[in-house]
Amino acid sequence: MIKNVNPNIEMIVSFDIQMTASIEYADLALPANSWLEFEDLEVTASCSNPFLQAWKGGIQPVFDSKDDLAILAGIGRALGRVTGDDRFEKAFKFEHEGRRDIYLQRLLDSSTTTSGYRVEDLMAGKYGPPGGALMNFRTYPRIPFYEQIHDNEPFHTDTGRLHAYTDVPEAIEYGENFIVHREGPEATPYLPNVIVSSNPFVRPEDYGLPADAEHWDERTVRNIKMPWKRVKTTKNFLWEKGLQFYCLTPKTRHRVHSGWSNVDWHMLYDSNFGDPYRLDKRAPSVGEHQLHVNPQAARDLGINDGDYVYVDANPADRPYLGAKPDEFFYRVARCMLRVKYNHAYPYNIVMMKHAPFIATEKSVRAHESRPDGRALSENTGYQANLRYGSQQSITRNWHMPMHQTDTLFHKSKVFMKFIFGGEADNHALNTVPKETLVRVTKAEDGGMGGQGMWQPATTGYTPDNENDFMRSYLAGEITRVRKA
Amino acid sequence: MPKVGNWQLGREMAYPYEARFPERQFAFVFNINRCIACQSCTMACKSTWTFSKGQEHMWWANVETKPYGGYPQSWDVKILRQLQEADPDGQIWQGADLDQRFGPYGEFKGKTIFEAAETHFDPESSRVLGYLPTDEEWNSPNIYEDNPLGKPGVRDRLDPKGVELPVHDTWFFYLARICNHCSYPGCLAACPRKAIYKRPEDGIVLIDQQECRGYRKCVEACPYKKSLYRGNTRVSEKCIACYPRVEGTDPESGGVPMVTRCMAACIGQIRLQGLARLAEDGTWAEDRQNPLYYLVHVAKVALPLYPQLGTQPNGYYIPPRWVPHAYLEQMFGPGVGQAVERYKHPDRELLCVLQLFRRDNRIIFRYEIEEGPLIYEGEYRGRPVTLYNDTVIAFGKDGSELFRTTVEEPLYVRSNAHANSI
Ligand code: SF4
Ligand code: SF4
Ligand code: SF4
Repeated sequence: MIKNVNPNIEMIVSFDIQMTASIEYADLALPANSWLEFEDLEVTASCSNPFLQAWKGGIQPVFDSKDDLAILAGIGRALGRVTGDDRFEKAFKFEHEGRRDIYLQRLLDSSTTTSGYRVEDLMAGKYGPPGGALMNFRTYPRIPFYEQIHDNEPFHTDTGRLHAYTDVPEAIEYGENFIVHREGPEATPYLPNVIVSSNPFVRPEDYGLPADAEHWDERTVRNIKMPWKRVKTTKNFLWEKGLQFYCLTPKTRHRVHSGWSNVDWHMLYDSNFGDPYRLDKRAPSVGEHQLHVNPQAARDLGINDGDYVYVDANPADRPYLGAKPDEFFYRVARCMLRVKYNHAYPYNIVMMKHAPFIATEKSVRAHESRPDGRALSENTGYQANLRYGSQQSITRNWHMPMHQTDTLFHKSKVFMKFIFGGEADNHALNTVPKETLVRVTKAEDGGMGGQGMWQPATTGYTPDNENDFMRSYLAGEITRVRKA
Repeated sequence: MPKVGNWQLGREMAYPYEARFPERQFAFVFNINRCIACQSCTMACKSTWTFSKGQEHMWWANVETKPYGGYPQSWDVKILRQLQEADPDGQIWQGADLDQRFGPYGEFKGKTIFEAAETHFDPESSRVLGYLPTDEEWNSPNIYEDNPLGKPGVRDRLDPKGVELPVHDTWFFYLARICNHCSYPGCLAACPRKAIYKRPEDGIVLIDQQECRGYRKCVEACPYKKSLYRGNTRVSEKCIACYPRVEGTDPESGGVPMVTRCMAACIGQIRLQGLARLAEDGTWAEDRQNPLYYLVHVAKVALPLYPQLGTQPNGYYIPPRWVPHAYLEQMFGPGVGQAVERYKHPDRELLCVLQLFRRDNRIIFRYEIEEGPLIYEGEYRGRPVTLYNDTVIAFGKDGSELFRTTVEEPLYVRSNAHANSI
């Protein structure tokens, strides 16, 4: 995006409540109020949360930030002036009139879980604490498919039934007319994206794409079916090239996606490398992103607990298309972080938590030139979680064809209706998938300033570096119970 | 040193002061089996009490992953090591009759931090065995989060067995900690200025910020490392048990005793905090319908943290059922087997009391149970089980009802204007 897409976009306008990389790379940044600063009604609910919450902030905005809807309405008004088309302004009529409650009431009326609620009653605390209410699902606790089983409600599929077989043409073409397993398009030791099945009624169209095609698009759309006994004998070309770690990128409990990623208390709690006083000036901030690695796998690569490593995926398309190792942007984009020994991960699996704040060109320049070494961008104040690179350095999007069909029947994302076809966020790009194959190589020693071993790992009290006393402690031999 | 009775050790022990007991004692039970390490408790405390300059390294409430995590780093390994060096091979519990009211932990034959100091330290220099963590050890409060004790990895292989109950081969658990407001505080014993005191009304242990001169004797002596030094004020600080809430003087409390911030914020509903009534000899006075008394002295599912250290801590834990017992006994003493067994197969009353955890911001002083219908009969973990939908009712200090809840979560079915599958 940053290297190959953004430069071709005429203007990028972004708004956010804090300085993110999206803001740093925008031409125009519009500051939004945080949840505590909202000046008019805002509401939130989610599909898995039984509570509805509406509120109005209360704390004075620090500068001249505005509510998101106020920003959108302002943009609408300005576009109306420029184009002479007053629909831009009218689209936000009630916001301009200070009647945001009308939108909220419409939202409540049109959702089956909130219909019957009145905004004024909600805010007055009629349904619970002021602004709070239960989402009125059919049952509490929520039992999936209750109305499909107890009433005449159809299942939300194109036939209204649950089926183990589908005869939509695309499904037949892609070999997914029956329930089949596909290996991942990348993170597999076997043929990428192979359909594992011996069902004679699965007869996919292979478009003549050969099994050794390496392009990401070819791997995504290729439909080769094999029974398991043949799949077992196939190989992934990436595995053969030495990319033999599956990298998982699950969410962390210390952030919400990327939200609050660079809040100092969370950075202190999110890794082994939290240090409010930043004794090691290499750290991007008071914490640092980390890669969990099985200790034996790390040792076999000469990597100690706490060392810095590079994590590289398929060089054909990552960290970005057309990457040249001698350019500055390559240093910005190549993922480097610290290793944490963790026996929870099998030998071939490494884990890096999802959505840290990425290193940007400015944060890298700051990190390399500031006397204190912080990755804190000059003039924007953007704080990165990594010295170099990001999660996006090693992951990419996979647009699986079955998720992109024109006939894909499903519930719309933010509205109570059913639609056919793919939809952004449900089926298209949504941050990144949890699968990639990587290679891990040592970058720097973990010890202070890059010298020797990271200090805690020398104490004898840490995983795979235990001294005799620690081994006794782990076995529970220090204070013993002698049975009567 | 004078002798004081330590019922958790099943014997008397040496302590620098004569025993003095409060009327009630601040105490809590944490059910480790339910903690998800969300750190809501940690952040609730941080954002209430320790958000200022000079407190950056300070977490009065913390949750660490055992066995490798610790705040400060390896605090328990280090104090156990000091004790072992003072008393090689002597740190042993003699198992006792687990049914005695005050002897669920047997008798401790080894040395406490006070007793070891007498033999191991120069008595002039210190009254309590301990150590002063380095500045670096207070960094990285969540070090080795989610790290299990595990087996070596083998290339291209997954663990062929995985984990199986009753006890996992690869294991960790989350240990949530605050100051234990000990009956025989190490911090208090060590302070040369007597700046640390235990409140007569609720046993909360406080450091007088005017009297403290920052000698850090308490930091060295607290075996749980819950007294911390602050560089810019040059005095020490510790958890204050949110005393305005416990007293009922917090503006939000309306005069009613409330649980602390870290208790009220607990997402996992692992926490139950209250005020135990004490007898003249400092043991818990019989208070059959107090949920804390029930869990500690009747059901005996909740055990003190490292009782062998000798401070008679007032934080109790329901041990995690998947962890090897030798490790748990090292941490919680001889009651582990019985506690885990009872927790795995709770009887009718225990199942009710377990529903009381973190349901209300007010302190529960008493509970009653109203029997409900039989709802399930079957087998559970290899044993027959019978479940009843009993109602448990919680009462406050003045005897008024705080709330009631049932064993089974009630099911509500709304009209078909509403949908589940959306
Ligand atoms: S836990 Fe430590 S600080 Fe708290 S009362 Fe006990 S000895 Fe003192
Ligand atoms: S009781 Fe209060 S002061 Fe103590 S750890 Fe909990 S929140 Fe912090
Ligand atoms: S809030 Fe509760 S569940 Fe969360 S970490 Fe603290 S004790 Fe555990």
